[in-house]
Amino acid sequence: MDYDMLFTLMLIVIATLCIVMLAARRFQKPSEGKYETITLRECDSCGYRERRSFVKGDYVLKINGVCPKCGGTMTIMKIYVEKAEARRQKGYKQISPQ
Amino acid sequence: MICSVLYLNGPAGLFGADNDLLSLLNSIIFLVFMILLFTGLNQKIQMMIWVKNIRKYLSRIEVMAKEAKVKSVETIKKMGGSNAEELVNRMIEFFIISPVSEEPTGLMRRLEHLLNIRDDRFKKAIKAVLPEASKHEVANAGVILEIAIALNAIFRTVRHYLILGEKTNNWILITQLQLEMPQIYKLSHAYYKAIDSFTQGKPIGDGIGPLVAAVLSKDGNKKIICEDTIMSEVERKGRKLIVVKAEGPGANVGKPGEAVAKLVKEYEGNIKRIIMVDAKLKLEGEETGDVIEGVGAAIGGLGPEKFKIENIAAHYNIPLDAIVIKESVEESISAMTKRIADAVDKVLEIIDRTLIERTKEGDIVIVAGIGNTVGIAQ
Ligand SMILES: [Zn+2]
Repeated sequence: MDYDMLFTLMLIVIATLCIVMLAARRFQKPSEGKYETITLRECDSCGYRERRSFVKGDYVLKINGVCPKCGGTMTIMKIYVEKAEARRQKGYKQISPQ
Repeated sequence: MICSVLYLNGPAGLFGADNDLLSLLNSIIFLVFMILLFTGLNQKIQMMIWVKNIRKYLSRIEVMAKEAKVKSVETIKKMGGSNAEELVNRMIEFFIISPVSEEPTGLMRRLEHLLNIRDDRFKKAIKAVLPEASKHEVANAGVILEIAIALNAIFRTVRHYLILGEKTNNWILITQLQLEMPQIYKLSHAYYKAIDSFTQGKPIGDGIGPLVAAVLSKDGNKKIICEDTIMSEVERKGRKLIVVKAEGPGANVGKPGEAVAKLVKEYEGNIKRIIMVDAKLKLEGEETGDVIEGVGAAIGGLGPEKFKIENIAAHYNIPLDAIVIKESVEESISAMTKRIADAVDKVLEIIDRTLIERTKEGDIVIVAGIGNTVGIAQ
């Protein structure tokens, strides 16, 4: 007798839950991590590479700065976005020339 | 599931239980479900839920469309434009009527003509409010305005189908819209985010072609070959490369088709190969930044530029090599990711291999980097 009541109540609760869940289906926003734009510079004479944050006005093949190793001119070779976490993991170390 | 359980429970409650109230409740629930099922009312409820969901997405797209408009006004104002609002309001629903295609004679020429007029109108309208801005600033402002136009068009189209579906009780239309909404929203969001890239002058994913061309032609001597398009000559592996790309660092796609055709004519067909580098839409599940090879004119757009290259290559019997970099639509209009930027080295490897395996020393080869060159100079 009590089981019957319990069963019915359970069903009613489940049905209401289903309807509520359906009605309040959440709006899916594209996941968005923290991204950072990186500017990669390369020395024209010795090939030394250096990365830093992007500043407005940067563009690929812009001559930008002097090489700390040999004093040659540096050119921006790449500009790209990278997940901020990934960068932190690798540290802000400069990439050694190949 | 619930219905079937209730169905079993219903009759049992009716005949077996000694609790009258409970069995009555059971019967009512059972009846309500049956009525909903057989009258199609459940579909109405479903439609209401879907419409509500579509409205949620739509209101977000509307916000983005409006903000895109505001941002394009702001950008033009920041560059020193005076009548920015008036210009944006005037151009926001700018359209182009596609040429008749049932009679294909000269279709590409007609289409090119229309596209040229459109481009010209756009540039002149922006130039009119920004008389002192540089060529690249005008190009960037133009693209931002185009994004605002695209977002506005998406918003108006979705709203149209939603209202139409509701008015005519067309549940197929509503169902379709509901199913497509996440994708439409994702694309709109990518467009919206792209505004930032263009205001800041960052390279976008589609710029991988020009990036390869820029790296190749770093030390070459550059000259303008046709409107918004640059060529440069460089030596590589003992071959003479003529590198073609749009003129940067403003947002530009240039006219690579016209440039290649002009070059081939200039050299009287004495070109060993034409290598084209472009971004290609990847299929879901494929890796971004994968580089693959093929043959043909690797160039998107509406057709005239592609037509020109195919035409000239066929006329002089020049092999067309295609090197494409896989990326999604969203990636192609958002700021370039590291995976895509890193593809440059792979592309250069393939170009070198192509040169060694399929050309001889002293041959002349055209390399065209196709795409939007925002943030990439030459
Ligand atoms: Zn150096």
